Amino acid sequence: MNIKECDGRLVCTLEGHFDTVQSQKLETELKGRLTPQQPVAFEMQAVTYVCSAFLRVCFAAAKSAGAGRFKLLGLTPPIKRVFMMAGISDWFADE
Amino acid sequence: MAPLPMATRLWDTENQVRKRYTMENQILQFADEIVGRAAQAGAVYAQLGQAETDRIVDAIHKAAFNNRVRLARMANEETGMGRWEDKVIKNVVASQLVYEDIKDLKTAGIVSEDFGSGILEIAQPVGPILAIIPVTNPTSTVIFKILIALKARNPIIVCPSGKAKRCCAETARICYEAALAAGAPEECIQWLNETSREQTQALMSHKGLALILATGGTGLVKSAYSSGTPTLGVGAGNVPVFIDSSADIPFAVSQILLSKLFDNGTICASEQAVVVETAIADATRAEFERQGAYFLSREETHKLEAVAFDRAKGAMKPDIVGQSAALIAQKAGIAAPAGVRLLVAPLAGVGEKYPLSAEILAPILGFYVEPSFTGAVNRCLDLNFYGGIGHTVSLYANNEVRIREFALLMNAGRIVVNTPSSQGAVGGIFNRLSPSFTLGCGTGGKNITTDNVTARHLVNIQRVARRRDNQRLARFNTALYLDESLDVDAIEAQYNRNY
Repeated sequence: MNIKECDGRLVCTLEGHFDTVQSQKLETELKGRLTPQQPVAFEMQAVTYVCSAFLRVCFAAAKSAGAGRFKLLGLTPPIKRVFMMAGISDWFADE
Repeated sequence: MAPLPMATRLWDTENQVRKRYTMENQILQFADEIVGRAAQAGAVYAQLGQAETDRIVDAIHKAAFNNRVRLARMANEETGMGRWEDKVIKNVVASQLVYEDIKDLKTAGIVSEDFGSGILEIAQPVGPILAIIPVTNPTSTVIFKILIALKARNPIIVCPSGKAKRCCAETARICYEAALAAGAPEECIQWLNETSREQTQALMSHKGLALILATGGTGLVKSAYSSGTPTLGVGAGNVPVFIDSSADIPFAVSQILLSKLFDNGTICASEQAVVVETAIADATRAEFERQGAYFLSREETHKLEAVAFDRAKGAMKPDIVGQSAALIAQKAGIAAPAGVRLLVAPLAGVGEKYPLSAEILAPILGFYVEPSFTGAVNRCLDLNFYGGIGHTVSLYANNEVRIREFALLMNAGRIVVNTPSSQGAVGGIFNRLSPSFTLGCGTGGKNITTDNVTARHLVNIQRVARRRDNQRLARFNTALYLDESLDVDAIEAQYNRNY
């Protein structure tokens, strides 16, 4: 995973299978990086699987960023479907 | 007249209204949270394939099976119903037999492809399921519903009867831990430690809920159907068992006792009344008595009616459900012999005037003697339609013509032959019906299916339909449809014309 700031937004480029272990690593990586009210985006193009723990990381990032400032970018259809089935569509970027 | 809006009910003070609204909000928020978690678990679960799903189901069945005795004892102690030894068997059916029945079922992704028809079928999960659990079969029903829900990759919320919440919670916990260890998503199994009618209704009508598996009392099942959420429910039973003159009477009686005494009669598919022809009535009665049944006098029948049936509610009294014959006789002030196993009430009719002709989930049977086969079948129809439409009927016979005649006349999802009806209807022990603790009763029982509900009912099947032209129409001039002078036979002739 790669985390960098870009135009005031924290962008996390993610890759692979996000099981519990990977999600916890992401959570740890993000812990010191999230700043309240700072926009956050997860670049998801290379993500192949997400588990419940990954959804929790998303919720935490969204909470920190504040309403409308957390986005999921480059979602592939299988992963987009997960978020839709979970009833979460607020985080989809207008692409 | 429409009911007054809540805020204007004259008997509520402003504070009461405010408090109630707060409670209602809490209940709605609670339902949002529970169903939301289930939806998230379901979304994650839907990514898993067949092999991963099967591993999870295997782990759950092993954990449930390995805890079968402890959970049975807990259920028996908490509910005060039935026999723990029989509840062990129920747990075995719910874990091992259900697992063996569903383990090879394809429930994830492409499940069939037929090149001839061009139809490819894809199984998708239905979504979050609410499982209503009855007090009569608590732990077994929890195991069963969890297994079939997770086999179909659905998250499940277990909502137990208030009288069985501890044993249900423990069962769900055991299954959940096993599922998690096998790779299932978090919150794929949730359970309620406390239940209230309002809470259950909020969950049932929640827009995020996909399906209700409703097993329980008629009121609860009706409430589930009224919620607006698709429901697989069960109807009430009132199972007649006909012993035909061609039957082996000692065998029939032993099997009826095996069924009716199982868990003290708590299975809704257990026999409720025996119907025999006059020609074999004495022999049947003698055999029942030889095997531990006690036939009641008219006076004793009235005493039993008073303790077993609530006339005001038109239903059996809960405190005799799953109790032993000896205890019920004692409650009714009936001097039954020591070691009595079953109380049998000779009855002359079916209906309100004969309370024991209704469903009683205890070791009590009605007994009817009819002059002929026709009369016996009519009596079985009376019983079948008196609260048991669509459920189960039973017969003992060695005359194939009679078996078929009987079966064609009954309205029952299961017609079990020469088989204890409790275990026979549940399936897997004495026949090849799918083992199930949710027995569909068809439209007669206000259900959508007469099947023994199982994992295959918990998937949405998507069909990919490839083009396969209907050859009959390919060479047919469809303009002929516009010619009103051509009737169906003329059009058929055109279809078949040899060009």
